[in-house]
Amino acid sequence: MPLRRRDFIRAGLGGLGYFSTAALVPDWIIRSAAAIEDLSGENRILVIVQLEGGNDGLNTLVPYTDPLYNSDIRPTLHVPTAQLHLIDNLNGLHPALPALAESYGDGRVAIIQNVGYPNPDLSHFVSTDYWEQGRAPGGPNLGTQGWVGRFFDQTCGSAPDVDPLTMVGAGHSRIPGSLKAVTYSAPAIASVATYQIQGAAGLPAVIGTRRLNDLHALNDVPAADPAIEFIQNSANVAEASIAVVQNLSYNPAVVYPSTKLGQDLLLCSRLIHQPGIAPKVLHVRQAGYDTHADQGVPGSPGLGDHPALLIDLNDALGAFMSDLAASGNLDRVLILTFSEFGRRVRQNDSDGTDHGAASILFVLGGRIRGGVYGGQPNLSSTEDVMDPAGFIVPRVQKGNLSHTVDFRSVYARVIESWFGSQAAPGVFGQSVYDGIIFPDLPKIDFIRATVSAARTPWREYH
Amino acid sequence: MGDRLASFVPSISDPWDERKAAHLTRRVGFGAPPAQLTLLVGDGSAAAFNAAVEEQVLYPDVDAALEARLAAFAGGASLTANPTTLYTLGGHWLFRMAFATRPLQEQLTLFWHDHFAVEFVKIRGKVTYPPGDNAAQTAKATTLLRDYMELLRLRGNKDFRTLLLAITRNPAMLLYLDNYLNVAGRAQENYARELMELFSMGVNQYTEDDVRELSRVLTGESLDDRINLGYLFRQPFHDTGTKNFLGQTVAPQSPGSLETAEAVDIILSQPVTSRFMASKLIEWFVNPAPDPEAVEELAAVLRADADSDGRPDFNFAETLEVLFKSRYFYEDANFFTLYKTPVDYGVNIVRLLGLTETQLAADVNWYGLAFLLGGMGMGLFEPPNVGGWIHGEAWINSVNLINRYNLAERVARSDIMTPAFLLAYFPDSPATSNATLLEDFRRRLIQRSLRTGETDILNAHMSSMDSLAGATQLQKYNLKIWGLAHLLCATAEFQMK
Repeated sequence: MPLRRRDFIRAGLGGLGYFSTAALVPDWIIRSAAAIEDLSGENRILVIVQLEGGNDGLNTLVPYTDPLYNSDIRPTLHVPTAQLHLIDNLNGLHPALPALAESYGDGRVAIIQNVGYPNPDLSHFVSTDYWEQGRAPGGPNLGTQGWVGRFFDQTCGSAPDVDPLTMVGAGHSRIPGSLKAVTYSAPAIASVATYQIQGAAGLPAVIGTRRLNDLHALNDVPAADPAIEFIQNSANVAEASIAVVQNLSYNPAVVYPSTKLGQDLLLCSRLIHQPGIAPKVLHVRQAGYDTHADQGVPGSPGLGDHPALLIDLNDALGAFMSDLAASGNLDRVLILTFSEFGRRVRQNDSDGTDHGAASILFVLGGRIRGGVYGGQPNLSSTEDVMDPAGFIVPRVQKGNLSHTVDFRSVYARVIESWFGSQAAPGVFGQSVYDGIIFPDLPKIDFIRATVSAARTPWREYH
Repeated sequence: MGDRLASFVPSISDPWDERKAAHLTRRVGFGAPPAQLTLLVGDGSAAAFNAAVEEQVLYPDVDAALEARLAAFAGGASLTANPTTLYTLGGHWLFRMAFATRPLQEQLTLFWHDHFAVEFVKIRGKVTYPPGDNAAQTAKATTLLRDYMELLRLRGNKDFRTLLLAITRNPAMLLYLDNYLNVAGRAQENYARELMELFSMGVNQYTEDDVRELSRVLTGESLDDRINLGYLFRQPFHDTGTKNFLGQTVAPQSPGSLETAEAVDIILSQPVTSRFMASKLIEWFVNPAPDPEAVEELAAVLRADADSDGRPDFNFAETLEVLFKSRYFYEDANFFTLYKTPVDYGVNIVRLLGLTETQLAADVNWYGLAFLLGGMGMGLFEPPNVGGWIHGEAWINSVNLINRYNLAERVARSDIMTPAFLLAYFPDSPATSNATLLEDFRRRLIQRSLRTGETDILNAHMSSMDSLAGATQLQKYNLKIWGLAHLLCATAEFQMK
């Protein structure tokens, strides 16, 4: 998995060595057309928000007119209609989500219900792998790269120069699974403050500079061993991204929450607004959704572990969207949430819920066709239901909601209609595209300004 | 015994030498400096080999020398006598890893912590007494984690049956995976699922019905109350019906806790369990891609019934002794195949450079080190989730590498690697030649050959220190060693073990 970054890195070295005293962004950090296949011409960005642990979709977007959503299935976790932010005559958002409700009213939020995959797996690790890698049980063996990583590998993997900040794990201590690629190592930036290589503290500057230059040079020595090559490439990415991260100039007027999610989205915003770089996919993660116990507090829908998470999500996404809207960038950003599964329809006796299957996800941005997609959840364990749009929502199976939209179809919609790429059949497998994704696409037409497919991909110019 | 795990026998063409001894100590512990490797190699005979492995692998329950050293040091500014917070507890454990006489005890405890993962944050959130007293609540949570760690340390090289029962009843685990709430008629599935999926058998080896039935078996394994948070089996919580679990019937027993032991026996009798655990051990200690034959042979060792009680022994001391004496372990294809975890990296630096607790107290104190490892994604008692950490290539990313380089830089300073300490490496310095300096530190830190391009850079680095205007010979010598330590720990080679 060699990366040929040395050529463009060396071009900027000049005679002074890698680290000069002027802390400017090196002019070799170029905006590259080959930083994920984006044919929109608008430099569009995808922001992935991972809700880790299995988000309880049923309490996030509540089907309040459904008589089966009641105190029988949810004795202590039932959210009363009066507390909800009603978004249409069937659904209401959890009381903790006022900013999302307002954005929904502005037409900037699509909520896709009943998202899942066939033969759902209730293991965190197996199901997270599926969602990150864009595959499902019984599907073709596509390798263990992330779905975004595979999209990158297949469309831009042979590009000679790729912006090291094409994809970033903001607030991550390792590369997010969705971004894992063969031909590219995304920087993981746990925090800006500590994202800096020390030369030699307390010693004369000439020594520190020498150490940094030699450290850089060591990671440029040719290697035959693939593991050594991989490590050195990762070091190169680290160094290249440090130069950018330590010189971020954008400071939003909007105040972001001081929570981890808030600060990670702030970093995303600063990367989006930074001149001279072209990030394409940014990834953040919010942990804690595995609410087996204490998911809620009986009688207080605003309290409990799940509402606390939703408050954080609401405030952080709200700040992020306000920030992007204020700077005129909301139209080129698409935010996509995902979680490895939903939760069981019937709550348990620890004021919690066990692992489930199908659930909702959010797609947000300035070019979204707002609305609720995928039909209503079917809470009946005895009868299938036909959605007004004509497709079938199967009954509850083994206590869990059934899916009508395969999550890979959502991803494919992003690849096709957000980035305008034809890569989806290659990324997910032709048989999956033909048999699963293509039939789903009419149910999830949530992007307003799609990209014309007539434009020629970059590689045909080279 | 099959072929792969047959014992390695030293020969002229395949000797017991420093290369193999370094491999052994990198894997079972956290590395050893040349002087110790020389002792382990001895005369290179089969007897010396066996003695070396046994010395590394067989250890008493209590490391008396380590306990004395810890007792002498703790209580000062850089390590408290009684850990009451997450980082002080992590600091204690790092001290043990750095100075253990038998470091396998600590490496194995780390393996089990990763295997039976629990998260401090989640446990701390469930400690609510005394109300309003955050410090006391944190101290209580820390005590629970400390007891959990001691359980793993004490039982980690014993038999799996006892270990599984003990961890099922451990208060930290009961809180973490909610089994204290597992009550008849209102089953809580969390622990039952993970017990099979993560702790013994692996994914997809059981059905959802098995999860529900095992949950019923485990009802009643709970806590005495929310203040003391001690283990108590509560018969009134227990589901007294018959259960059908993994194809076997578990008849009601009195007390119901006897059924837990029976469920553990059923789990251990599944063929997949020995394979799952053999594979995990090999992935941790030998190669991320375990050889299938080696897995089968090691699984058979786990299943051995030496005490003839009709049940598989799952004895880890015996199993690991076989593994670390095996030809498989010393095959070339298994050298430098594992990526160092952040803990490996940090403790390596301490052990390979021969740093003492007093030196580290200068600024990289033990809490600081625990905190720093958290920044690299491997905070002790802070795995990302119940599946433990993701190892291998996942450790190699920008934030991890930056933090590793910075840890090496911090250590390579005059307050930790003091001039007096540096003189101990080469008593006749600063006259020692650059070639000798480089060779010694390559041997000490890298333990294999460097590429020509790397030695060129390091030689040029030393030359540039030699040309510094106004520096004395001694200062140049110090700068060269700090430079070597910092830069060698930043090479790609040093990230592998």
